[in-house]
Amino acid sequence: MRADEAAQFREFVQARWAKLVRTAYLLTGDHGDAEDLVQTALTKAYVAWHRVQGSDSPDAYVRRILVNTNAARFRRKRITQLFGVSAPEPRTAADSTTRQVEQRDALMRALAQLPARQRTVVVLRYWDDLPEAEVARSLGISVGTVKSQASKGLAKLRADPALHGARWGADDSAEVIAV
Amino acid sequence: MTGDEEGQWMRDRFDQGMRDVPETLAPHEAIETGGRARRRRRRRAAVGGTIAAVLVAAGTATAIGLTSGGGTDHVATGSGPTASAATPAGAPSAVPYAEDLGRVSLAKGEASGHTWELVRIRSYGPYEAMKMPNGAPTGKSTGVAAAETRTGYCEIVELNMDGKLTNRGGGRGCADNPLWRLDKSASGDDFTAIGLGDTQLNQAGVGKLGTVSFGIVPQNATKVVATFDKDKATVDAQPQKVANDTYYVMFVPANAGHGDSATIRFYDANGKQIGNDHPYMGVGNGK
Repeated sequence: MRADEAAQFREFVQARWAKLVRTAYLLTGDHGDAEDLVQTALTKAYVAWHRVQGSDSPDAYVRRILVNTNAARFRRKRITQLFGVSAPEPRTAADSTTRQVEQRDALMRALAQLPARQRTVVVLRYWDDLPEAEVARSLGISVGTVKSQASKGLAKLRADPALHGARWGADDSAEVIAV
Repeated sequence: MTGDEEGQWMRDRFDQGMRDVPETLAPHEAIETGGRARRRRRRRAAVGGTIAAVLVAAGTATAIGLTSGGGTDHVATGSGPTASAATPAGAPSAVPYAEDLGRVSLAKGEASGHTWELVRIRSYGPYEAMKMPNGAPTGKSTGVAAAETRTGYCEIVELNMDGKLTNRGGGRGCADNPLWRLDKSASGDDFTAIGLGDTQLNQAGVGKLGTVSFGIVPQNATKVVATFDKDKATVDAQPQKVANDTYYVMFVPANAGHGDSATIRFYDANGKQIGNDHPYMGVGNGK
């Protein structure tokens, strides 16, 4: 990679890292996994930087790498979990003191109930705010599938009581959440 | 609730749930190092036999020389195994410059039906991929750089046969690794060989073959010639121009043998010998 290309790559990484990690966090539910996922995706993007740069949308290209890498990771993880199911990490007292953490925790637990592709559709559509066509391109599926997966995913999430209630409102900061 | 409202409901949940998520710094170094390693693995996987098999079959040994631009020149020679049947090796052909820092294919060719390729690898600091591929033993590699080598780049030369890494030599700027030796006192036109023994790379059924080595030659050398002590054969190293560098590739005669000695001579553009004869210090088996 030439020096100017390396500089462009660094700029790209610098500008996108935080956003990609947040998306990855919603896809994986774990901060460490999210950073590993984004690092792996960007490593792949580094190798294919010519193609990434030459594509219509470098962001879309890298997003697709991220999604595909996560799908592979998810498959590996499922196999791993067959052999060793680990209990959720215990929550610390400090964590439970903030509403943000409670909300995040509820959100992650709710998302974890979705099948991987459904979860990805929901995250890309409503967190990354991508048009349905763009989500479809990122996942290599049809727009119709995106619509149906988004609809089913939303229906499940809306049925999750953890995503309702005062904790999500502005007027009930004193609520104590039982975990 | 309409579809738009449902979407907005979900966006609100995301916004609230992701508020104050801590941000971390991008690990630029790790990403780029990982990318280079990934590229090396992919290229290595795309190439493919063993030098030993080829050397036995061809009855040749391989030697490498390299000359770096911008200062001190380097040349390399090496000797391969003793082989019974001498088959002339195919002439090397220059290949395009790949990249400034990373893997550069110096030359490649074909000998007795086997393809070969010399690849120079540069990386910052200690070469982090000293482990042999495909589960080959890593031997006594220290993996620890001498303090003075941490700032520059590390350069080694690999020999692939039929697409498989079969030997590795050099180590200019690399960590002090027992797989190679370097006479650090060498400078200017003091020729010295840097050799790679094959103790870590011998493969079942193919013997211990394939020395790769290089040394230093004068800046104004335009021709590099080796005369092997055992059979007195004289071989011209073939220059391979790669960007600003010149690499010399030499097929050592069959009877020269592994660890055999040779005399290296350098000539300028007028055909005049530069400096004295330089005995090549053969390196084999980690001596």
